[in-house]
Amino acid sequence: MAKTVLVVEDDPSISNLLKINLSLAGYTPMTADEGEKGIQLFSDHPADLVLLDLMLPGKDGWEVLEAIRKMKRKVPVIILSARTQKTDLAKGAEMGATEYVTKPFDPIGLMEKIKKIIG
Amino acid sequence: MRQSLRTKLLVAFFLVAFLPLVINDYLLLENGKKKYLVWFSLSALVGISASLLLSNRISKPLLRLKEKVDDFRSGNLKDAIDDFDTGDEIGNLAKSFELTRLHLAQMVEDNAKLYRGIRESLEQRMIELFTLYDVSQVVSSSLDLATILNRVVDLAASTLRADKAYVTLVESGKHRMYLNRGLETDLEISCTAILHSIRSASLLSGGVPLLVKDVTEDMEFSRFLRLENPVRALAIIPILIDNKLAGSIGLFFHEAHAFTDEESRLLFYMASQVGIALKNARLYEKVVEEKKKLDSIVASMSDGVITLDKELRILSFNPAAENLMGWKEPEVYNKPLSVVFRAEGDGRELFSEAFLMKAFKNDLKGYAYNECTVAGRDGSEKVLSIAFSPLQDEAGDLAGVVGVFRDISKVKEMDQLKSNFISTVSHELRTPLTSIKGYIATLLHPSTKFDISTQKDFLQIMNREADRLSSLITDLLAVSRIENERFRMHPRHLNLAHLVRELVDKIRQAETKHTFLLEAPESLEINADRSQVEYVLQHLLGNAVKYSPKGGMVSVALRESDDKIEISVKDEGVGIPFDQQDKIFDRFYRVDNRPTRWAYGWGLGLFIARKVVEAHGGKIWVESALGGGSKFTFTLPKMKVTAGME
Repeated sequence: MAKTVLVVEDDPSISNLLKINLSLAGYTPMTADEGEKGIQLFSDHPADLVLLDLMLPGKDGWEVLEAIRKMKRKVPVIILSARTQKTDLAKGAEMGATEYVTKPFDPIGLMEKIKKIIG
Repeated sequence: MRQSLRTKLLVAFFLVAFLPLVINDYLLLENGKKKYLVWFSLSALVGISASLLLSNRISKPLLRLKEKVDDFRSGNLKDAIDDFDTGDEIGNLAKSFELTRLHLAQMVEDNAKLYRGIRESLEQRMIELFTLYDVSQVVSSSLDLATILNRVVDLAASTLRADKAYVTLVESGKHRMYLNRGLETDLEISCTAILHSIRSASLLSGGVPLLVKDVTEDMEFSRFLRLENPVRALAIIPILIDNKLAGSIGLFFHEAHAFTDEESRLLFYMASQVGIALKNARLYEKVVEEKKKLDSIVASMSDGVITLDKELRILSFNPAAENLMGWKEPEVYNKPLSVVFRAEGDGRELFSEAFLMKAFKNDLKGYAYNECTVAGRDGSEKVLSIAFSPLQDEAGDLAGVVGVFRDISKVKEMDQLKSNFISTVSHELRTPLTSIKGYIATLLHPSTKFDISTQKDFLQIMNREADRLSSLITDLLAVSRIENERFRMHPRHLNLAHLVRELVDKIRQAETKHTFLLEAPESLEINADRSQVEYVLQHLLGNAVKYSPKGGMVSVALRESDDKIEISVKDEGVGIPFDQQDKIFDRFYRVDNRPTRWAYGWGLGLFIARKVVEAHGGKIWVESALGGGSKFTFTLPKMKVTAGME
């Protein structure tokens, strides 16, 4: 059975881009455009990996990450963010993100990263 | 007298004691012997008589003389020693005593005269000294020129019993009457004439007082004084400052007045004291004036200025400091810094006495600077930039501290906005770029072929994202032009009603969640920069849609009044908190308490819109309530717009 990847991203173009690439790479994508929805979706269908934007409406990416870590400690979470400050990168590591990928990113490279983590 | 009585008693005793014996013996004796006895008795009688006679001629005058001498020895030098015209040694002795008496009497009289003289001169000196003391008291107890001159001139007049007095001060080479004690107008004129006469001018400027004991004997001055003036004597004393004539004190007498040395000395001393006082008073006036200037500078400074004594207690607090901190100067006087500056976080040590003492202990040339969040009296927080510098006394020790501070809350806020803006811009640039690059990379994926329709979808997304990038760059350039003051309007003939209708129609087609209502006349022509006004309208319409994510009604109204046109765009969206409504037209400002953060934007649109509207001579404002939608309104003047924003 194909592995599931949850995409929490409010920008529809990027969300769509990730969905297409995840499908092409053989994963089952699930998308949420708000933090709260992302948490709910993860709680209903725990994904094998989470692609998480930080600047989200409602609950932001950090809150989503915290909630996910509470539910399932070990799920890999890749942060996808346009925030490139060192403080954000450090916070990502501190909060237990598996990777911190800054935007713009190469979707093909990202899929390879995901493959390495969850196969 | 006693002596005389004793002699008489002695004689009587002899007579009473021996006479019966002698007579008895005589009766018993024989004749030959009787003769001898008679001779003996006779010679005894003669001897006694002679001694009685001698007693009268020598002892009595001697006793009297002794009495006289005793008398004048006891101090009575008035009674003459006479009645001793005996022609013998006693008489001579008496004459000698009389001469001595006369000599002594003369000496006593001389001494008395001398004593009286010394006493009078001492009294005079005392008066002089008291007057001098009074003068120096006056001079040293006041720095006010009018007070000093009034009291000194009164002292001089009363000490010398003058009838009239005056003081002049020299201004641009002329004596000007400063004080007048009883001088009538004509006397004042005469006085000025005297002062400017060659003789007095040369005397006075040389520091020599002019003393005229009787003007009737002085041809030159009598011609200045008219007949009706009762002035007979006058004294004019120069007031010198650094050997330059600075004025004069004058005294007038109705009687001729021979000036004693003491009086001249006194007047001279008074004048020199007045000179010193005048100099001090002028210096003081200058200092006061300088201080006033400095005070007014400190008072009108927009920066808070605070001074502390060497114990670091507050000495002064200027009006700007009062305004910034909410405390009045008398309330903070002598208080420690920490009472007024309730600081939190970084930099708060600046208000600790120990810190400042340590900072200035060895370095009186340095200063202590920091930025710190401080609560004012009302509890309102502000960020202050504050610099404390030490003040040195003459010995080079710490005499106090002066602090200058200003409210940099706005600057800090602006800094924060700018840094938020940079991060927002970075985000807003990266997001569309991510899409564009991502779709290109996907299309270029070597192992995947997409059908034409998918490829077209991708290209459309990329095109939209490129537009997004482009509009951000356009806004950034507009702001840059505004900041560099190169923002120009190009007003042309414009039918505003047509433009509004066109834009509303366009957005109506694009946004299906919202209903658009337009209230506008068929045609409304103005003179404006089309592209700029279009920008404002588009931005307001875009915001109305963006900030009402659940859809709803967007009402656009275009109304005309006598002098202006009012355009409003109203939505039913999330609204703007009241306290942020005046900030949204500022550069980089984005409403931060929105319940959702879906809306992208970079905090420039409303700032540019405000600049555009203002450049056209209009105004823009918002009426909104959180959760109750927003209504943005702007006006454009109907008159022809010609001037651009330079």
